[in-house]
Amino acid sequence: MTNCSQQDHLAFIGKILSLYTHEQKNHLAIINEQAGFLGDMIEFSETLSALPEAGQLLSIIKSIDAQIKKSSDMAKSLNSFGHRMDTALCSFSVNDCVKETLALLHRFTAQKRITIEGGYAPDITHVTGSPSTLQLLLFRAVMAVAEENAPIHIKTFNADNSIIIGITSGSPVDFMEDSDYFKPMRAITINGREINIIIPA
Amino acid sequence: MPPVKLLIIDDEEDYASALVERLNLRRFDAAAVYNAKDALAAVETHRPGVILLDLFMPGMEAKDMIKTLKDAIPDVEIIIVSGHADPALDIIKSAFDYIIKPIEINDLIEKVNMAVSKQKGAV
Repeated sequence: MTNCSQQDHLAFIGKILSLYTHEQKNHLAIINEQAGFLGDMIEFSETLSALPEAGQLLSIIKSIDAQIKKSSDMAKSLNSFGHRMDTALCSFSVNDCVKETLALLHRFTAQKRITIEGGYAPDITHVTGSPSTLQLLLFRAVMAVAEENAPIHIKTFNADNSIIIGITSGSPVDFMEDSDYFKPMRAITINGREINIIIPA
Repeated sequence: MPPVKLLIIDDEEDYASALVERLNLRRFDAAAVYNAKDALAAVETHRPGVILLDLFMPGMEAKDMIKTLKDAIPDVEIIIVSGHADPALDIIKSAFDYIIKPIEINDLIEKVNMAVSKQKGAV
């Protein structure tokens, strides 16, 4: 039997927080420089050889808008992630839980040039359990298959009264999680290629 | 005196291109590249005195990049610029200085000027 503890769960939360804050700092840096550049155009207007065109200004403002939206989406994901620990058990959407976890891992996957290809069955029902524990299990599975430059395929589907999250990267993998910490969920490897996280429906 | 040549190596194009404009308005000669591969070519053509290097870029190990840049221009000074807020990282010791994003441009310029002074033997 594998072993997992609250310490591992805390380490996972810490990892998510550090990835999130790193990403937010990058977003803020972009906004900071672009807003600063707009300010510079006013401050240095007398030394500019040509005044900026409206199109150039609009492009900068649109870029700032886009960056704020990205930051807001990330903040929404982190807020939801935090609230998933409000109660030990609750009813939740597995698809939403997976998408949120992957959004929060974006900094890690981008750094490793890993693309995520998701296929989420629309008929996945809500389950009752600990969404935060599922996110930890998913994180461990993603880390087990993560390879620089290689896509990760994630799909959800129903099978045998369970909801399955299938994770592959194309390379051989040997991953199992059957710790009491995750019960009633567990993870196994199928054919040495695909990790299945099994969530009793 | 010719303007100080700066090279920004950062995969965030919107950030780096705006910073180039801001630095050039302040009489620097700045250029930017957005990946490790282009960085090596830009070092040869732009011959920067100071490089502003993003610590974490896709497909790049900062430690290897610093060595490669130093091999190309031995007296170049490298300032690491990153959203990663851990100044205890070993890699920082191999650079001239470290600044955390988002940056205040006058703080950055102060560090650049200190790097230039070091090159001239004044620090």
